[in-house]
Amino acid sequence: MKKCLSLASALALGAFMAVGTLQGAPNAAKLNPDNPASPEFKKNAAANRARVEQLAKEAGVKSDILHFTVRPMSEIMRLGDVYPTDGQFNAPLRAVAAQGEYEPMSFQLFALNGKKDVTFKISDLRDNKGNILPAKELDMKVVKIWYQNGNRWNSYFADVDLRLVPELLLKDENMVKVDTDQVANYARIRKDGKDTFVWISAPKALETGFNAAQKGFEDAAELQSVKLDKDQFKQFFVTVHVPEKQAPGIYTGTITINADGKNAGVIPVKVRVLPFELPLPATYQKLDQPVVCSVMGGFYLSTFRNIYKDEKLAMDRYIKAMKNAKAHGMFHPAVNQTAESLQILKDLGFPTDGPIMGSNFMPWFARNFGGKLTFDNMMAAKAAAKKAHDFYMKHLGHSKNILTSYGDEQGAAFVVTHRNFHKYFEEYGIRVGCAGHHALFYKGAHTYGVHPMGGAPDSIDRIKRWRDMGDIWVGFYASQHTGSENPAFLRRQNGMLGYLNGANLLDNYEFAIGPWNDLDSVLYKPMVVSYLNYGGYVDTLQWEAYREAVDDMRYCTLLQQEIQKALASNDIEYKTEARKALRFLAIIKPREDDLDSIRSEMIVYILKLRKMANAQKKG
Amino acid sequence: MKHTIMLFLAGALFAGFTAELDAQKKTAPAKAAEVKSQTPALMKKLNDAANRKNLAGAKAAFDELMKQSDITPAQKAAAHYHLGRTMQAQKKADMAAVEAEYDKALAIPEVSNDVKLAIIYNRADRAFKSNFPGGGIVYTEDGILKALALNLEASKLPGLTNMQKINASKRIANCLLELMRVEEAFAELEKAVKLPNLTWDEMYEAKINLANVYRRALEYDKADKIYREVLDSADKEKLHVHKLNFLYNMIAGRIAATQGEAAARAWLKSQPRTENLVRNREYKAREFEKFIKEHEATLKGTDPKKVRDRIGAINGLISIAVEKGDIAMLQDVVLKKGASVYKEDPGAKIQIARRLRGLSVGRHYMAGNLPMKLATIKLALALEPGDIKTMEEQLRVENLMRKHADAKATMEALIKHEKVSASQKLYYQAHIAAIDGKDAKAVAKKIKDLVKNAEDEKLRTDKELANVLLQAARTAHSMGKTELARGLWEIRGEMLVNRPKPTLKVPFIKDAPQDITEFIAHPYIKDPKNLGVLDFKYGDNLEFLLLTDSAITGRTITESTGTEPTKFAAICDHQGVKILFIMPCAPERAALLKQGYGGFGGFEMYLAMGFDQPYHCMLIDGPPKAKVWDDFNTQYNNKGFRVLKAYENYRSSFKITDNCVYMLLELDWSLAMNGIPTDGFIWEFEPIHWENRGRSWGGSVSVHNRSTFGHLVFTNMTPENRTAIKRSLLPKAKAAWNTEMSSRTGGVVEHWQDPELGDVRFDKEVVAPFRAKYGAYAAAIKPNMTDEEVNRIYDEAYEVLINTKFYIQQLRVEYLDRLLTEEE
Repeated sequence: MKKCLSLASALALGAFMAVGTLQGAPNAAKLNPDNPASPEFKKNAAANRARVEQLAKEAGVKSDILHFTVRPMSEIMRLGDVYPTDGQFNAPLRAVAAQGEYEPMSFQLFALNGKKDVTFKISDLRDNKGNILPAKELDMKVVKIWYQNGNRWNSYFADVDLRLVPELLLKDENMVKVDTDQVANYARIRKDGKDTFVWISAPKALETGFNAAQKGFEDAAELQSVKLDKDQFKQFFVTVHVPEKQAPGIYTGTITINADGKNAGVIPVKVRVLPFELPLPATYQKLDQPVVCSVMGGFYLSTFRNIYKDEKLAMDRYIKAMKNAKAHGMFHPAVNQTAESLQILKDLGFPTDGPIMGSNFMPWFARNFGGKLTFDNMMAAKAAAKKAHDFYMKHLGHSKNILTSYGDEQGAAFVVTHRNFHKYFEEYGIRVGCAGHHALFYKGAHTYGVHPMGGAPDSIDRIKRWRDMGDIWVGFYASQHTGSENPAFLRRQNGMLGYLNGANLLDNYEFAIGPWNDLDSVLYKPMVVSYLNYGGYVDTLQWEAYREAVDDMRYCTLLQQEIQKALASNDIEYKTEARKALRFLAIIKPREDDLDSIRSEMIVYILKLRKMANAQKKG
Repeated sequence: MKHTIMLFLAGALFAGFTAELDAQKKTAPAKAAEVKSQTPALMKKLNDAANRKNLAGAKAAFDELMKQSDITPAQKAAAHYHLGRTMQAQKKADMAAVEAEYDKALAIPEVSNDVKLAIIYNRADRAFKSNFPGGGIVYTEDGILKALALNLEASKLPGLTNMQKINASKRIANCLLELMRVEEAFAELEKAVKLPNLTWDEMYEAKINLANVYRRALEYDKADKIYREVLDSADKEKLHVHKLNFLYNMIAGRIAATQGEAAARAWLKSQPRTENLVRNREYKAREFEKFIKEHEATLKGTDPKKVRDRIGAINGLISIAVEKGDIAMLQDVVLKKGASVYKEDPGAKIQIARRLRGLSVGRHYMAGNLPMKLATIKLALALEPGDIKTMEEQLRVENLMRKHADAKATMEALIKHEKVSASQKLYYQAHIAAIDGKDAKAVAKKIKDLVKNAEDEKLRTDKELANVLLQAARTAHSMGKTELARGLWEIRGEMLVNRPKPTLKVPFIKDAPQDITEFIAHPYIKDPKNLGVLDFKYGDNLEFLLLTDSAITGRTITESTGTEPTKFAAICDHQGVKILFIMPCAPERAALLKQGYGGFGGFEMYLAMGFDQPYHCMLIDGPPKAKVWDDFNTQYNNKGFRVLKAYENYRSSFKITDNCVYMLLELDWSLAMNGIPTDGFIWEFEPIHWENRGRSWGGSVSVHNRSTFGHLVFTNMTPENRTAIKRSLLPKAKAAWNTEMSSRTGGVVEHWQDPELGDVRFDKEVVAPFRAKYGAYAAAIKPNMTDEEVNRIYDEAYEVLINTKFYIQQLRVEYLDRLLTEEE
């Protein structure tokens, strides 16, 4: 009876009612070693200070703000007390990038004395021929350490408590306030010059929803002053964008640090612009088949309209988000299948000649557990295929390799029931797919055209058998989903690991639009790759990792193209160099080899092969 | 499709029944004059009982019928059929008995075609349906083929009427369609169209059947042509409105699809009796102005006899206002335009109030338009105040809209409501306390008093208090009263069991047991304090945590099977960490497991070798399978982490005794890339055993619940013991180095020297010094090193040697970065 009463109250109280939950245990995270007040943190900080002072002494550096250049895509979870074992003390920031490419650099500052107001000035970069890579092409952000659930760096699962983790890339680090005493994140809402703070890391049982799209909650347009805590490291990202027409060469410049009104040092910056643009990624050893770079969710105009309410604002933020997606290598976002959204794709220069993430306009027959489709069901499928074909012909001029899905994680009975309608779509070149597991292959591989495989990108046997089916797109999800904040892990899973194993589809679950509260879910953490707010998406380490993953594949694609050119020539030296490159690709261990090392080696081979090709042309 | 079949069946039954009555009239006219025959009445009774699925009634009627002297053989056959179908309509029908009745009917030579058809179609439909189960894999078409054969058999019965032949054709065509023999289906239906001497109604039926199948097969033009032919041949003024509208809608739909809506309407307007169809299309197209004017004109009427029309007009305007999302219009209609109608008919007010409530309460389609939903609720309450369900809905919407002051007013009204329950009243009072309050302690005190003095004594519990505090905290949080929310949350937290983190010592034991047998015999596991207990029910469980409950009853594990919980002991030695799980098992089950039968709950375990370390996920199936899953990676191999590799750096083994299952998990020290633990160092560990619906050590609410992992605390990690561990690790470091020095295995230290494939400059500048330095360390690793040598080499070189490949790759990256940004 008590239950009945409670239920009645629950109905009456609507969203404000929550069932009792275990998440009431006293918060023990206050004493966690990631808290700067903890003995462990203090001990590490003291040791780091001694180590850094020694380095400064050896290098003759006098400043009390010291820098290390570090790998932007690293397994190291760079908290304030974590020493950058991969760092190079007092070294220049370096990047090697193709024309049109976005390439991250990163450094960490260590403050021997606390600083309240630290600002940065980036100079233009120049080469020895007088060409300029303008400062505005270098996008500098601070890596915000904030609270996420205990699985923070490691997985996408939910948890009941919070730990610190570096994740957000912000222009204004105060957009989110982190309170280590209360173990809490707060969103800063700035209205009429006044700041208020909203608790955005409450336990799930308390959560009633935070409107992140409200006016006043957004990042700054330019990098704001940052605070440096004594004896702590702070990480920064500098993403260089090389314009397509930038002349190749070595460009140098500086980042000048100003602390509390005084010059506090200079970080040299060196960027090598390579003499080529990167192609879109193509399938490993099948260069005529593009790799699909997508993700589930995140880029629906309808969602933006629902969130922002105001049409002009929604459209502005959507266009920004789409440009951001393209700049991050997401060339095939899943968008609303409307004339309007497809036109936006075209206008923004997304590839729309297929493959493209589309819809099959199929009605749902509610036969999750099998049975037999009726004649009318089959005809509905046939009509849907025609409708889809007509739609894409009208808006894209083709319907070839429109990648669609029907069902999710379905079993053998579902596949047997539905597989016969796929032919209607195949006739138009429209591919039907389904995410899931083994049954989809055993019972439907001959009819599917696209398959996000529920497993890991290193499941070679599972990927191989799908690829053995020929012209098909296969990717991975779930092991892991998105959600881990570790950029090195994300880059590997989405990039070379799956790619060299034959995967040619990135369509993981998911690019969630919020919530900002990492405790606001039960089994899985909210799989937010990039956080939406009033100003649009703010970038994150894992979002940058997606771009690097795609860029790894683009470099590998270019290298393979160069190899193919060389193999087609009659010059044995040229051919042999190509075969050396093939050998290099063949011996890569994508589960563990250093991805920066693979990238560098690919660049070296590309340059060598291009040089030989040019020599051939001249010869 | 199913619907169509059922209609056919019903038609056949009805036809059968009338034919029986006709037969009765024909066969017994003389007797009827003398003694009134009971047979027709009994036949009707039987038929009625059959239609109502009343088996007892049908049986009684059947028995009586069989006693009638004037019953004809055809009636007997019909009676068997009706009894059979009544039996068939029962739950869990005895189909053998049903079929026996049908056979009896068919065995009578005089059986009518109606009864024959009914039985054949009954069997055909069952066969057909069997091919379309609710689920499972269906490979065959046996059911459809059987149905086709039966329908064909029916079509060949002698003496069928045209309509019966048309129906048979339709059934045959339907089977052919499901077999995807579409052309044959068309041909079958065309045959029916060509039957001789068709009446117009029969022609209508045959042609519509054909056209409908063309339409279903997406042959729209062919279908359209037939619909138009039929329409042209009809008397449009007299044709039944359903048939006429069907034809109009089919044709207009096609015009709309090919030429647009305007053309469809123009065509409809050119036809007689289409006014309503045109209006429907206009309304569907949201052309509301015309309807608004009409409704307003109706409202201006004063004829007392037409008050129902005016109520209808109000309803019509409400529908339009809701469709348009026009709150002002809705308010105007309900409050102003409706006022005079309510005066005329007092019942109208209630009627409109209920209509409004029906539009809002629980209707999902309004979920996206909360202001409209709230407006309808408020209007409903304005017309019919005090309806508690509507008030509760108002509160729900106000809460969703964050209208706290309004919600408070609604709750205050609800508290005074005569129908409010004690529980609801308590919650409303608590919410109001949170809305009004600032200080957590004061609000909590108020709430405690409310619970203590709750009207229903059943509510005066700590569980209820915990829940009420939670709701109040949520309200405070939703209002942005962070301190109040946090304060109430913490006060509630104090009511829960102060459950210290489960911890278990992991001592270094010099002569540690090496296998399960030795472990079982070891004195260490005899001491209960050395055992961790998996006594926490997996998942969320508030009752389990409430301090008061716990204080009274202790840590009760609900749904216990009565068996002892799984326990484990953890120790370490120079090789690694060994964890023995002890799982009591009933002797019968143990005996089965030994033979390879049955199953035992598997393990899901997580292990992080430090607070800041990634965690490993281990899934180990219980015996007899005992499969190890290690493919969920939280990182891949790098300088600071090694993935689990079964039987390389960890392994598990089982032993089944007469009353217990043991599992030994052995983890190699080479996994501990963050260093050998010192005394007091903590590894985070959570074993979940999927027995008894899941029991865990740490208290996982869900899987991978990092913050609830328990603590393994290392002890006896003396310098001497740590040296023993280092001694066991150094050969592994040497092996790693040797692999990278080997030309046979593509070693990265060796590779760069190769002038053909490597990079001699890089080798000379970077690798050679590295090779010299760490090669010397590797060479010094030997079986008989002193402790001093072990400690020195380990401390100076182990981390680099074991990571040789990663260090060389890092050096290469730095070298190429430098080269590419310094030299063109």
